[in-house]
Amino acid sequence: MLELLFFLPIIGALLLLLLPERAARGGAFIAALLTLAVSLVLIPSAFGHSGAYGMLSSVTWVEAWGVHWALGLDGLSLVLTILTALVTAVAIAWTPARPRTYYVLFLLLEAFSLGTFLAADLFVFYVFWEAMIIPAYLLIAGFGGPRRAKAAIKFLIYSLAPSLLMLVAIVTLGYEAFLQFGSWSFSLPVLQHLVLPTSVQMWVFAGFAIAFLVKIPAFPFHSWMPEAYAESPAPVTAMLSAVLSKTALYGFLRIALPLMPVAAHRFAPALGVIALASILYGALVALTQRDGKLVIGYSSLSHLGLVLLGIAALSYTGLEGAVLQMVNHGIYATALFLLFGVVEERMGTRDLQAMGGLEARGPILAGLFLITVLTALGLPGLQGFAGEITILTGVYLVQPVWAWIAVISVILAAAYFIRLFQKVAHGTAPSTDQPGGRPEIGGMQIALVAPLIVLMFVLGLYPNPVPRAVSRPLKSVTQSVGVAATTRATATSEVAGK
Amino acid sequence: MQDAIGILLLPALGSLIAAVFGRSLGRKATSYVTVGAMALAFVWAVSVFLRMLSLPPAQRSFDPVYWQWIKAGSLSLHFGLLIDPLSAIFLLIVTGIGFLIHLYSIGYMHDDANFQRFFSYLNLFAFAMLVLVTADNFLFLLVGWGAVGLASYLLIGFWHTRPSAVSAARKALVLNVAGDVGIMLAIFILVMTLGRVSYSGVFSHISSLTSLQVELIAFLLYLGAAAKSAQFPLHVWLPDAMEGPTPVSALIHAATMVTAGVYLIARAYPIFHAAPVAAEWVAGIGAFTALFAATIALVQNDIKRVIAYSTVSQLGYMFLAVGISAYAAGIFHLTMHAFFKALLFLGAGSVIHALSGEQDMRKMGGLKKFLPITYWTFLIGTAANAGVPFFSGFFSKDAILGEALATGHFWLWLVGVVAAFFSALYIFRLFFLVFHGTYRGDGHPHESPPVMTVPLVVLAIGALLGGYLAVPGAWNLFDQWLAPVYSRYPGGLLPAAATAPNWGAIALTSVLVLAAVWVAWNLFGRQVREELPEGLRPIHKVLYNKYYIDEIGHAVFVWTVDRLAVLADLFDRVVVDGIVMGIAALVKGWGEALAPFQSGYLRRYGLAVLIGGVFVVAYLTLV
Amino acid sequence: MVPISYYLILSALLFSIGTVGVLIRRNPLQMFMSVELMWNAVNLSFVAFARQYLNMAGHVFVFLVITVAAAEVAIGLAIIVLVFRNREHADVDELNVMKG
Repeated sequence: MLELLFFLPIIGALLLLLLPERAARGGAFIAALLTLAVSLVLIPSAFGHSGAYGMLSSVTWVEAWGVHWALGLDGLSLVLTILTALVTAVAIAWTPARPRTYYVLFLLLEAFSLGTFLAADLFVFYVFWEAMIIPAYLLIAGFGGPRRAKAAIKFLIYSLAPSLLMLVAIVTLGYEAFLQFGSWSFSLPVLQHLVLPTSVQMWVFAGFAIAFLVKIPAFPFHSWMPEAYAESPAPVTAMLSAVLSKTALYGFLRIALPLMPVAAHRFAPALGVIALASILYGALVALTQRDGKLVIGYSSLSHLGLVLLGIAALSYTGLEGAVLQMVNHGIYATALFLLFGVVEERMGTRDLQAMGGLEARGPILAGLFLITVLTALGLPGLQGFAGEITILTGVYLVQPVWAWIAVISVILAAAYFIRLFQKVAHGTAPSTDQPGGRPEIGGMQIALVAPLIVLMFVLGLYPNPVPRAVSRPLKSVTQSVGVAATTRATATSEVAGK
Repeated sequence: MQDAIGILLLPALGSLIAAVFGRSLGRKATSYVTVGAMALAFVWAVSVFLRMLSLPPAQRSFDPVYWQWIKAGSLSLHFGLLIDPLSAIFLLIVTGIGFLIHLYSIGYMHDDANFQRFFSYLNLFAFAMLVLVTADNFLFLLVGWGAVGLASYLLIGFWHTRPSAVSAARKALVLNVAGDVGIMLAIFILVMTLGRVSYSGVFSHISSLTSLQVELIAFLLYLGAAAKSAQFPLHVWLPDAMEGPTPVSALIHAATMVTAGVYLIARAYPIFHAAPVAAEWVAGIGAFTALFAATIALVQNDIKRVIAYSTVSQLGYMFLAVGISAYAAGIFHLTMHAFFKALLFLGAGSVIHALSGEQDMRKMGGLKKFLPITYWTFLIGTAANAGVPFFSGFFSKDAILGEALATGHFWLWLVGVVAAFFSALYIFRLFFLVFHGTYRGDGHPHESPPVMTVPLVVLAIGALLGGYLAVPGAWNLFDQWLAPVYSRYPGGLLPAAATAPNWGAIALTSVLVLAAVWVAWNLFGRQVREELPEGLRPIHKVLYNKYYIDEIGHAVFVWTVDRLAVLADLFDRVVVDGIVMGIAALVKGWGEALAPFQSGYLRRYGLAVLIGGVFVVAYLTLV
Repeated sequence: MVPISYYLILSALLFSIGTVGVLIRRNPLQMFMSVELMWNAVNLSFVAFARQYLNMAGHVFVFLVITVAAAEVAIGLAIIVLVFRNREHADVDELNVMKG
């Protein structure tokens, strides 16, 4: 079943090559929907087993090096798998009439992202981590805006260079397994039992962390982001922001924290500072951007910084909040980028100074955009708020000062998102507005974005399923890390609500 | 009382239906659905109230829990409602007065192109306020709190083609979000220190907090309350909020939104009882706001702006009351204010409607004969707002002032009394300028349709008779009704001596109010004084410009944030991009230095291979 | 029996001729032939040593070299033909698109 999940988009991509050009979009959409269906069918099996993974399939791949083709599914990978499948399905069918290559690359991007989330072997993780870059690069370079070539190269170099550090780190872990257990191994459950000297942990952790921080991106490793986000077509930006950034955050939870617990504690303050810098910096830059897409891009920098802060706090509540916010961000960032893409198309510009008048000309589009913006700025009762408050509470339990600083961004978020919405919706329509075309969003696109909007409300009023799904994997993470804060957290565990 | 959630769901459903199907339903059906939802909700609230009334006072509190919102480690929160005498009052105000405003809007918004959207927002506003007042924990209070802010944003900016409406909406939202953050921080401290956010959990464990923590929590809650309830210096959004359609102003000022801050402090009284410094602060700023806003209202020319500042001033009284623990008196004034303020705004709306959008009082006058129903109902609202004896505002305001004096807050009482004089002066100035003298405009005023005047009459009855719920020296149904809420935790009830009427004080304020009416009549009633005496001009200018609070706030906050943001943007481009580009330039430089070796001549490469080979062989053989 | 030095001298001569040919010729076909000459010079020394030490490994290497050379020629000629078709000439000095 797990292989099916991973191979479905690949098979879909191959079959697309046989389909006629005009059926490519439909075919790709069906492949993405099937993948989503399979990921939903797998929900029960993620919780079936008592072992580390609810479902694990492992085949020896390269025996001499101890490499296994191992895919595993637990609550943590499940929620991100569903998120990926959902986001892909929505994004792939969003824009009509692209060449077949576009859809093929899109499906490959989905497959490799799924592979990263499902990998139970570091080698497999690395293969997909690298493989993911290729379709992403080609999508930016092939279908982006006027300055796509530079953006794509920047993305490529930023992605590849730190991955080499990660490769070194992975090989070091495999070698340590050889030293300690007598045979090479990259299997995550096996590597759990490694006892690493602190100095090794520090280096290995740093290798992973840099690769992850660049991919999220976090300040000051973010300078590939503005160009890549701005130049990519909206659905690709949505994938970059909603899915690819999550692979890095997932890497922290799945690999960096549990395998290198001592280093995690040593690096946590540094990660926290980076996270805080991203939060504030992203928010402040978002306030000044004239390019609407970059406002959303920098808001992502800020919000993912908050997720990173939840991870860096190393408290169980913080981790729960981080995963919840990863899911939330995936959903609203997708909707933000896609809807803004439509607005851009209708108005012929992304310059906020020039945009305007959407509320009068396309009230449905404006309404959908408003709900999404409000979710993103963390309006209580909508989805973004639940993750925010859980993260901030988790951070507060351990590092009250961090939480205080991070809270500032909540005010700033309100300011820049409202500014974004008002510039787009109010005032008069720009001169570049497509004169004959309909300013309103199409019916197909409403149907595509509707599930995201519904999820914003559902997860806002009842976010509990996500923390419940990931509680076991995260408990095992906190056990390995030996969360210093648990003692403090349990003191107040008789908690709240009632 | 499990069914009380229905009161919340009705407007939510109405809002959803109006938003999604509004266009296909058409105007009429949409207004039936949304106004009907409010009517049903009101009936439901009345039934809750009656059921509560039939129970003995000690059993009038219900806390049904519906679902677990989130459980993440040490954070565990539920969604539940708290239905007790205090929230019952608010249920009645929000649904009852909300319903009248809905009804009135059918007439007022009749010609608006976005009729359905407007009603969807109105229902949303009511729903948000209902969540706020019925939540059984601080978290869902905050959910309602934020949603109220959103709904007000949508409604204030409803006429989004007007730049002033857009900027007013943004101002309201940003200031409200700043308040939300205060409450959010208070919640963090509660979770951190007590591990609880439910009212019952927090209030029964306050004694385990240090006094510093309690003061901090109280101040943060106050920050939220002050932002929502327009306390100095966070009041700047409220007068601008009149940029929305007039029913919206009525809803914001009377039934929903601004009362939320008073509700919060009245609800969280055990916290404020344990935080005397914060409580004094609440009362002090309240009294100051009452006087401060009243003086501004004296000189404004826009009819809605005067009423808006009057709201700020009246909210000051309510905060004064809850700050000195006179909770029942504060809620009493809030309820009376809901009646007469809704009445004043809807009356002003009727005037504006009659004059086709004119809001400048200098172009009104003599409207008494054109708008008889509006005139008489407006007179009742004016008298109530001024605190003219035997109108509702008289009873509630004097209850607050009396308790302030009795609890030893002499200076607060004095400020309150002076503000009462100004209140009567500004509101009668408005009344005489609008309805007396001769008509100074050039339109054809006409009375509003019944769908607008009927709510006026109903509200006027409330503003006329509501005060008799608590007649000093005779009975006080309000105190009785709220007693079970305020006797549950320490600090809720004032000593009996404090609530006894102080006839001397009542007489003094009554005389002052009547004197103010007389002054107003002489200055504005008989003929309008255009020219100001020379000596008063600078004062007039300061007051007219609202003490320049907006400009100061703009200079301090907006300027700072803008500079910071520009700095960050510069940093991004110069330093971060600079480093990256520097690395890129370094690599490129190396490449250029090495490029000449790649000459493109095949035979030159061959020669290089040969020479290299010779060197290798030489090395191997010779060394 | 001919002493091994003769074979080696012949081999060195052939190799030098081939090297010079590669370096001074501009026609890729002639360069190819020169490279072939170098291959065979090396082959000759392999065979000579194999006979000297009675070790068959030398013969095996020669066969390998011949096979590889055959494959190389096949591909090389194909490239040359393509270059000629595209450019109407095959002068290696003119083929400098890789110039840095």
